[in-house]
Amino acid sequence: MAVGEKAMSIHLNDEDRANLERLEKRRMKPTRRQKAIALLRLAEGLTSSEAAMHAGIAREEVEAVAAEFARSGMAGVGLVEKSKTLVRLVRPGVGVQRYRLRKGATLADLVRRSKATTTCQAVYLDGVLAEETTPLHDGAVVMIVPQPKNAGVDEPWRATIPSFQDESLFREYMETLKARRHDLDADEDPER
Amino acid sequence: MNLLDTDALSHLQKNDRVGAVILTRLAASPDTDFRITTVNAFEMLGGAVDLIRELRRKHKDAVPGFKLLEELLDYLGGWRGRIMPYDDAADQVYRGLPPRLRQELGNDARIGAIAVVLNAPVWTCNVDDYRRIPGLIVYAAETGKRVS
Repeated sequence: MAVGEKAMSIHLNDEDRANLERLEKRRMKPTRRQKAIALLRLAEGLTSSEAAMHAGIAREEVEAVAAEFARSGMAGVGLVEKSKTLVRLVRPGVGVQRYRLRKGATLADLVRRSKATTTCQAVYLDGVLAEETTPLHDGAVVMIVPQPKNAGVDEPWRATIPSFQDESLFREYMETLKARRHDLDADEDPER
Repeated sequence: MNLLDTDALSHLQKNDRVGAVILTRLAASPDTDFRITTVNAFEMLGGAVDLIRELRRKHKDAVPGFKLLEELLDYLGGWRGRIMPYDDAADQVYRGLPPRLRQELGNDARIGAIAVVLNAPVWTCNVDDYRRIPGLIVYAAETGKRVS
């Protein structure tokens, strides 16, 4: 014990002690980092005992990792980086959220992960209506917006305003529109 | 999904020569899901209110102004479910634009910010202003061509 350092007292009941002792005896699997350290040290010419010391695992584990590496490479020892798909989910009122999904993930996976509801919503993948089975690609932009089911007409952009046939009224209206263009910002500090 | 800016909408609403051309372009677009924003609605309704005030100030007949307001309200009803909100995400994009650009573009910058958040193109007659907004996809409403 270091000089001046007090021992920490921990009280264990019989059950806790038994559980901890059982766990202590369990074989500890090397972590990805430990495997990487072991392989790097072996590659530098260290012995398996030295590599084991550097990695903090048993010599037998180092030898097993090295043997597996010789047989199946990085994949064999579980050191291949899993490829991921980075997707942006856009929802009005919620904003933009980024999700990292496994390669080959579909829209359904994203919906599940984000807990987004798709009831009465339209789901777009890169601006195109998409099915939930559609696979996602890296960099995809998914947008979930209310479905225009209750819209008054299917193509509202075809509607006209009868009053606009009055040329002078239309001209005056357009002038007021022009004058109000900056209305929302009139009270704001432009440097904000 | 595409967003329409207020100028393009005004031409469509009047169905003038430019409006007729825009209508053709919109109808020919592979994606005819066109939407507007609360900023368009703000501009349209605000314009009608100001028009009524202006008519009264000039001692002119205010009835046509009120009629226009009524027609705009009916018109916006037709867009129910297709009016995209100006929310926190859009405000964040808007606030990220250079102050000068925000000042010069006014409400167009806010419509552009909504479009950036939704990754939706803006169809406009005012391409020079909109294409100054970074990351925005812009279509010239009169030609139906993507310009940025």
